[in-house]
Amino acid sequence: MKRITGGIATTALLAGMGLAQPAGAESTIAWSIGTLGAPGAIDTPTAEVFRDGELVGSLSGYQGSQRANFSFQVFPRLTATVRYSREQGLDAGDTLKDRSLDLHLQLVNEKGWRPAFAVGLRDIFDNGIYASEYVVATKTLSPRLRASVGWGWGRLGSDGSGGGTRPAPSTTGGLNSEAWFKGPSAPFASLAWQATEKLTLKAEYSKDAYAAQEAAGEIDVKTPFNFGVDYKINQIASVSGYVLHGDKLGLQFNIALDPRHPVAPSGLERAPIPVAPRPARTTNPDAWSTDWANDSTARPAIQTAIADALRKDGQVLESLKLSPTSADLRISNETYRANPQAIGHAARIATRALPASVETIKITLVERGMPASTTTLSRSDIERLENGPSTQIAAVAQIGEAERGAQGYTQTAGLYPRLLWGIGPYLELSPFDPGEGLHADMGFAIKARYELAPGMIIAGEVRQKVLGNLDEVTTTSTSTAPHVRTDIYEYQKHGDLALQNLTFAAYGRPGKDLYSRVTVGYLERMYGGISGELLWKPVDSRLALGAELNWVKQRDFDQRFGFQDYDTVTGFLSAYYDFGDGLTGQLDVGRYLAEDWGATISLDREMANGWKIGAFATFTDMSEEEFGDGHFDKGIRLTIPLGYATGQPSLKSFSTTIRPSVGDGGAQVNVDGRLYETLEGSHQGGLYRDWGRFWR
Amino acid sequence: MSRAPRALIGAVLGLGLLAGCSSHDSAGVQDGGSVGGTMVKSAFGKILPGKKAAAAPAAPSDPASLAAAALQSIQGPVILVTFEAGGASTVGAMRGENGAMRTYQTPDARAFILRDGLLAGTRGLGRDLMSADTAAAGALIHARKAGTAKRTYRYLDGDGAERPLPVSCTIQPAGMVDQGGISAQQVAEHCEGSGVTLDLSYLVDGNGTILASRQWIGPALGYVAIQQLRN
Repeated sequence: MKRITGGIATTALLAGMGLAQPAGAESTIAWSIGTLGAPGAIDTPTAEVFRDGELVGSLSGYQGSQRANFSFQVFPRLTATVRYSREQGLDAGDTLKDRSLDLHLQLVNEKGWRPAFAVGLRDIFDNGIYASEYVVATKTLSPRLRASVGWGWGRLGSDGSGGGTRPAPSTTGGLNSEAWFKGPSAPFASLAWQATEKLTLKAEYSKDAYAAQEAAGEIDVKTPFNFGVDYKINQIASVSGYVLHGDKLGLQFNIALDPRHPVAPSGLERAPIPVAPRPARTTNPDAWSTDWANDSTARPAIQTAIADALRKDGQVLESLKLSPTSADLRISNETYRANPQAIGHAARIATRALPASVETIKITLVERGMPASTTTLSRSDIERLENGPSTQIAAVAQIGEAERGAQGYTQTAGLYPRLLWGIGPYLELSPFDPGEGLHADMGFAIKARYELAPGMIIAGEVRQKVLGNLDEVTTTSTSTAPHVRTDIYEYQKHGDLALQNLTFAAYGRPGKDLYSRVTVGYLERMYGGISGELLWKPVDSRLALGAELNWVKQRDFDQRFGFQDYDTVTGFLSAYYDFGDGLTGQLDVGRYLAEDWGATISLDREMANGWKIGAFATFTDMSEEEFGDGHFDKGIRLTIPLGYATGQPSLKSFSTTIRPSVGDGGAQVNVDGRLYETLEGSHQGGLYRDWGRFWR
Repeated sequence: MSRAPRALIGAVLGLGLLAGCSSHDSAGVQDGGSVGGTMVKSAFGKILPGKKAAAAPAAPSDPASLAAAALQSIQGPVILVTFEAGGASTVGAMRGENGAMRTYQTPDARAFILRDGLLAGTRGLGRDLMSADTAAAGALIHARKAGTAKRTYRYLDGDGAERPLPVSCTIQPAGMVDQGGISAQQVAEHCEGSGVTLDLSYLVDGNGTILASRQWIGPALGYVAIQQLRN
């Protein structure tokens, strides 16, 4: 085998490429996931962390207790876990359905003789059935053996001593900070042994008394020792089994998604068409003649050749402008998530179709009919730098504002009108609600898009439920504000031929650096109306500014064509800022659906492989009481590109937004095809982020 | 692990074909291969210490018949590529030529990019070599001269960014191989750096053409044996 001798940069590279880690280089990456979904042995925590950006979902439980944990490694040292749990007998004899949030912070990494140290807070809000605080140290004793020792308060120290009485938890939904690190405390310890590559054995000493569970007759704690075993099914999935305090047999299923571990980092799509260099001018001057420009058959033949080759490549040649020395290709990339890859393909195809006298090749990305940006390349550079480092071609490629209008361009024949449609499954979950179990519907969705002309688009989606229990949800909105979002339960009960949206949208370029959108129709499942937007976004600017105005009317619960009485005007002024490294901030200020005024702040991080993780919070003049549970609107959103899992090129992605609570304050109407997200990947920030795929 | 023998058996198999064994008699070609392989293997053993000679396991696709069929059906330059890990073989037909760079495409639309015979990229393999600086090493190898050269391999890593993997290489010519009227010199290249150690080898004819080689795609895909079936 290859000898691997270290080197931090390469270690990261090799890790990204799915090669085995050199022992010790990332020693505190978790070997095992605890029953609460964070790095841990069984019930006790360790000072390990997940990989940066990793998402870990786990289902764990024993008879009488079930937990669904969702952990995210927010920063290299900070793990956040949200949890939905059911504990039998803990709600005055009934099943307690609860949600909780944990934070786990690694203070220092393992280094030389020094162990890793971490501190953590479990279940920091509300009634806190898992509430614990801990400090813990973890040391890798051998490449296969790790030991952790720590001290815990709350549940982890509940069979301990000292500290007096722990203050009672908050019952109003606030932080339990008064109880932190108070009350009885006790040590805990654990060992993890990687018996084989697939199998890890775990043992722990835990002074969690399980007092409430024991009182409810759900568990009989016989010993402070727990034992467990993990079996790694593959890179992503693992199962664990454990014996809890000599009494209960538990089972856990884990899914760990590391954004840096796509199936195929460079993609499995077919190889691009190579560059065809021109003959040397000195030996073949005839080939460089510009006589072709006077031949009326030449231009259509060139356009057809490029259009056909692009179509086979999954792209559309919208239009072409040709002069004896330059060619302007307007392309719609319908296949590649990274636009530089589409530009690179178009440039290479152009070298095979264009007469030798054409030296300047301009490629304009068209997004929903709008010329979004133009990349200007000299043909000599394409020939000279083919398959070299992407930084070399980046240095000579000029990315700038696209020409507006269609002056001089010949549209490719037969493109419009164009119908695209697809059918696929959908899964819909009920909002995260502690009082209700999790309800869900599954079915299929038909989506269609009919493009009348560039930028004139009719689009719609209809869903048909096949099975599910969303119609059994008994929760109803008790909001005192207009029910602009809290009637979600009513909408979710109607899954039969529900019209998700049906709109006509017109996109345009009203001026330099300006983009516009008007959308009319059934904008989203709850609202119909008209939405207009204007965006100022220079191609090379980090800053973008937008304005949006909507008049909307609330739709009937059955999501057919009818409307309810409530209508309103809502709109925002927005500022967007690209901080670099894929980090984008957005500030919206304006009037929300319930006629409350305020601002939304969001932060999104997008990787060059298409993963996007973001968080948002909205503060409006609606009172916390009127908003209800959760006090204000906030959430996290996640986008996973389909190509991450398949390795195939695709614009499709899986997106979800998780809100801890649903309220009527700070709600915005959802309109498809907002301008910033439509253009972001075609402007300089997005193009440079993805530029490594130019020669792919 | 035994990588060298398989690569070298392949190398001489390539030589056999180049030498005009185009009777498409696969049995004959394989025969020549195994005899020559032993010979080259022992020659390489001297300059690349630490290599163990071991029998190559049977490859899933029979390279000899693949090569013969490719030569018959494809016009122009053809290469045969065999992955050391797994032993899969595929043929590549020249799809593009840009100066010294040639793009060979396989029947399933994957590509191997060679610059003067040195692997400069792959496409469509999932963990592709995106680019490689081969000029310095290439000059020594084609001249069959000893010396040192720097190489940089580049990959798209897990988060989608292009990352370099620089290595320093020592190039060392070794013995001559005569096979079927063609004589070629063995050249070995040993590279270290960025946590990897690579052993590459080439058979270079009198014109500086690389007839057969053992080259490296990257950490995930490992080594390939590349034979120039027709140049």
